[in-house]
Amino acid sequence: MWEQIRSNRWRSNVLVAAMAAVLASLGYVAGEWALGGGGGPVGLLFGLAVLGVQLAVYATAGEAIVLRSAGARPLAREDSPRLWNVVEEMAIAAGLPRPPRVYLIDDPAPNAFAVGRRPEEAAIAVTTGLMIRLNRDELQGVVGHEVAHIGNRDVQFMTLAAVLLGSVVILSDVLWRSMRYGGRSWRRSRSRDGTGHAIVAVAALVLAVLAPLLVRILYFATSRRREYLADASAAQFTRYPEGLASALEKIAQAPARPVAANAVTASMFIVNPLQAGDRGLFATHPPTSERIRILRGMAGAGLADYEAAYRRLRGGRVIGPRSLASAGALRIRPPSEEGPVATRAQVREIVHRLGDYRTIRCPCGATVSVPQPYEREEVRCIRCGAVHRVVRG
Amino acid sequence: MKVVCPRCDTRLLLLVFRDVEVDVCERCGGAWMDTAELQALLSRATMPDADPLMRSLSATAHRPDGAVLCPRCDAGMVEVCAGDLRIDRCPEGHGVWLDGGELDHLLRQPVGAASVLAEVLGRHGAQG
Ligand SMILES: [Zn+2]
Ligand SMILES: [Zn+2]
Repeated sequence: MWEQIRSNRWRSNVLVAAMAAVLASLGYVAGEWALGGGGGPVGLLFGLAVLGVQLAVYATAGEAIVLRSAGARPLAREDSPRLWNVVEEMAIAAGLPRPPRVYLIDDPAPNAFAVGRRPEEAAIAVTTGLMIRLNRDELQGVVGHEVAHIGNRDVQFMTLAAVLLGSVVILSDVLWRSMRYGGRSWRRSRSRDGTGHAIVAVAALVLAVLAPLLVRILYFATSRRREYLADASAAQFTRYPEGLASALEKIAQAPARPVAANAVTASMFIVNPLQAGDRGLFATHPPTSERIRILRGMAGAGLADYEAAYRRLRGGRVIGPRSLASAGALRIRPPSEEGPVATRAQVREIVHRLGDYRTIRCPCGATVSVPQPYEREEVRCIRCGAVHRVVRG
Repeated sequence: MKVVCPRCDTRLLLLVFRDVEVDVCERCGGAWMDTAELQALLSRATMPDADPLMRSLSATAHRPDGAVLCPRCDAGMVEVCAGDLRIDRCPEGHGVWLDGGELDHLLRQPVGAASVLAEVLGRHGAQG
C-alpha cells in the first residue's frame, strides 16, 4: 500500500538518525573519558564509524544475519513443493517482482516472519510447527500476511532495525561480559588508576540501559497499524479472511515456546512470541483476538470490507484513502479441502536432511539423533549408556 | 521436527532401534512415543492382548487439568490407567508421554510391548 511504503521510508530514516545520535554521543563521552580533554571529537567519529559498519553489514548481509539468528535454513522446492506453491501463489497475488525464498525454522511452535532489504531479495521463514498444524487455507493466510509485509516495505524497515539494534544488543552484551569476567586483567594491563575499566563500565551501563529502551521505542514506533494492513491484504490476496483468522487462533493458542525468537526477531513474527499479554503500551502487535474478530467481521474479501469491519469493531480508519480508492470489491471464495502441507514424519525427514540433527550410530545397534545446536560435547546412548562425542558441523 | 519435553522444555533426543523411534528426554528420562511408533512397537509384541501398554490405551480415567501438553498438538494430555500405572495420552491420538519413573515401571512388566520397549531402550538387563 502506497501510504505504508512512504511511512516506512520515513521511519527508516528516523531510525538511522536516532542510531547516529546515540552512537555519536556515546562515542563523544567515551572519547572524553579515554583521551582526556579534547578527545571527544575522536570518539564521536569512532561512534559514527560503528554506524557505518552496521549499515555496511545491513547492506551486504541483512537477511542472512536475521535468518541465522532465528536458526532458519533454506528450504529447497523439492523439500516441500506444496509450501513453495503457496508462497508463489501469494507472491503473484501481491504483485511481487519475484517470489521470496523460503526458509524453515525447526520449532514446534507455529509462527512465521519475512525479511529482506528489497522485495526482490525477500525471504519468508516458517516454523515446522506451522507446516504440520495449519491447513492450506490457513497457511495461505499467513503467507499472504507476510507477502503483504514485503510489498509494503515493512520487512525492509524491520530488517534494518533488527541489524542496527541487534549489533547494539550484542555490543552491550560483550561489554558486560568483559567487565564481569575480564575486570582484573583489564585493570592490570590498561592503566593503574583503572581508567580503562571505568570507560568500559560507563559505556556498558549506557548501552545496557539504552539498548532495551531503543528496542521498546522502535517497537512502539513500528505501530500496530502495519499488522492490520497486512491482515487486510492477506484477506484480499487469499479471498478468504477465515483462513488467516483461524491460523491466528491456532498460533495464539499454542503455548509460546520461542526457540527461535529473541529480543530482536520477536517483533517480526506474525504473532509476537515474546509478548506476554495481549495489551499494553509497548505491545508490538495488536491483540490477536481483535485481529481475528475484524477478519471474521468482513462481509467480503476486499480492502473496503476490512475497513468496514475495522470501523465497526474498533472505530476509526486503518487503510489509507488512496489504497482504498484503487481497490475493487471482492467476494469470499469457498474453503479448500486440503489439509496441512506436511505430516510430522515428512517434516522430520526435511529437518534431518537440512542437518538440524546429528545422527550418531552406536555399536549397540541404535542410532541417536542429537538436535543441533547441542549444548554439550558428549551424549550418552539412551539404549546402552555408551558415551559418544558430538561432532559439531 | 523438534519434539520438546513437556516437563523440562528441552529438546528430546531421538532414539531409533530396529525401526522403532522414541523421543527421550536426557534430563528427566521421560519418553514420547508417536501413535505410529507405538503401533510398530505393539505389532512386535508377542502377546498384544495381555499387554499392559495396549490395555492402557483403551482405558480412560481422566484428569481434568492435564498439566502435560501433547508435544505435537499442545492439547492437554489425558491420564489413562494401565493397572497400577497411569500414563498421559494425547486426546487427539498423537501419542503417549511416559515420565521417567513410569518408563522404568513399564519396563519391569515381563510381557508384550513392555519387553519390546525394554529391548528398544536397552534397559532390560539393567533392570534384572
Ligand atoms: Zn548404544
Ligand atoms: Zn497431540
